Amino acid sequence: MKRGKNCKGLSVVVGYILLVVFVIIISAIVFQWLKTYIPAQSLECPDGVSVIINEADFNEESRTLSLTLTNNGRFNISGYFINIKNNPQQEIPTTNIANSLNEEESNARIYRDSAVLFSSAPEFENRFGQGESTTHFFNIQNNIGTPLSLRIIPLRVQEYNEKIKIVSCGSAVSEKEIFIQEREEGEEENLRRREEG
Amino acid sequence: MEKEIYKKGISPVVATVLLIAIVIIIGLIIFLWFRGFTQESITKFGKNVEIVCQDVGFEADYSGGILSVSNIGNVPIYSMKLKISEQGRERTFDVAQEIAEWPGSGLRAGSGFSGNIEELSEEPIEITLTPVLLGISSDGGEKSYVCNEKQYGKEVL
Repeated sequence: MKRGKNCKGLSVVVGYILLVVFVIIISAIVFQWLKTYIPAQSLECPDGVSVIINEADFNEESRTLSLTLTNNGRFNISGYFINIKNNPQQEIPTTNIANSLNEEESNARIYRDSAVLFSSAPEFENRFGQGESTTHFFNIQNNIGTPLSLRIIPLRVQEYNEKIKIVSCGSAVSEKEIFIQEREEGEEENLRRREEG
Repeated sequence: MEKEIYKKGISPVVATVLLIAIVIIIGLIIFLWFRGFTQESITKFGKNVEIVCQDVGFEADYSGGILSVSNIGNVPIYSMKLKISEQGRERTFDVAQEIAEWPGSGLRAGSGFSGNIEELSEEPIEITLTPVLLGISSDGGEKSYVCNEKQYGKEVL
């Protein structure tokens, strides 16, 4: 049958082109919006990380806090955050004392003014092994007051998106009340006389 | 006898090119117009900030007028939305703006904060804290985002 002379309509080819272009545009809009919702791997510690505080002693005279830790978990760790409580009304220790670390005596180093790493070596490694113990010393400044309790959050070095990251293990927080070694009576009297004089 | 029909018109090739050009232009207009309806996406660490809210971890306490917060997660907390319910009213504050002790760069991982909030409320009945994160908006600038209170907010009193 011959095609009529007065046929009107859009060419089928043009129609296809229009459809394909609209689909591509709408796909681009939806993709742009949705791609940020793709969940990526989270930065978190493995279960089984654990550090216990064996001893936490504060000497009022020398204002030195000595802290003995043991890794009783299943993974090595690289360091820890340390916060103290110096106000009896507070429940949560919030004052970070990493900067007070005596690096030489502790054979450890301060990281970014907020964390303590177990090794004085510059490389980031999980050096504190399972079953190991160590003692660190902190020189507490007078303006911080008397530490009453402390809390540590272990840290691990892990690879994330092909980069080395230091990960906070919030699920392995450890707290302990600080034992305060008070000054002897004579020392208290000497200090009072010096302050009055 | 066949009638001679004198047809006028443009070449089919030119017509096709014109049609395609018009479709692309209309498509661009629709794309730019529709983009205004979608919520601006704020990203942090390459992910949508709403997903990053799931990774935030913090502990908080209120005692004797002192609010204490400790960041035990790996996401820095830019600020906190503090909602205080008192007798007959409810008020909301931005901790970073209202409390001087809040660190200017936010609460980094492992950090803590404590500040007196008695000036804001003397007799609170209920206090809820919701983390506020700082992300990057689609135009490249920094923008804050308040996490969903029902999912990520914590009652400290």
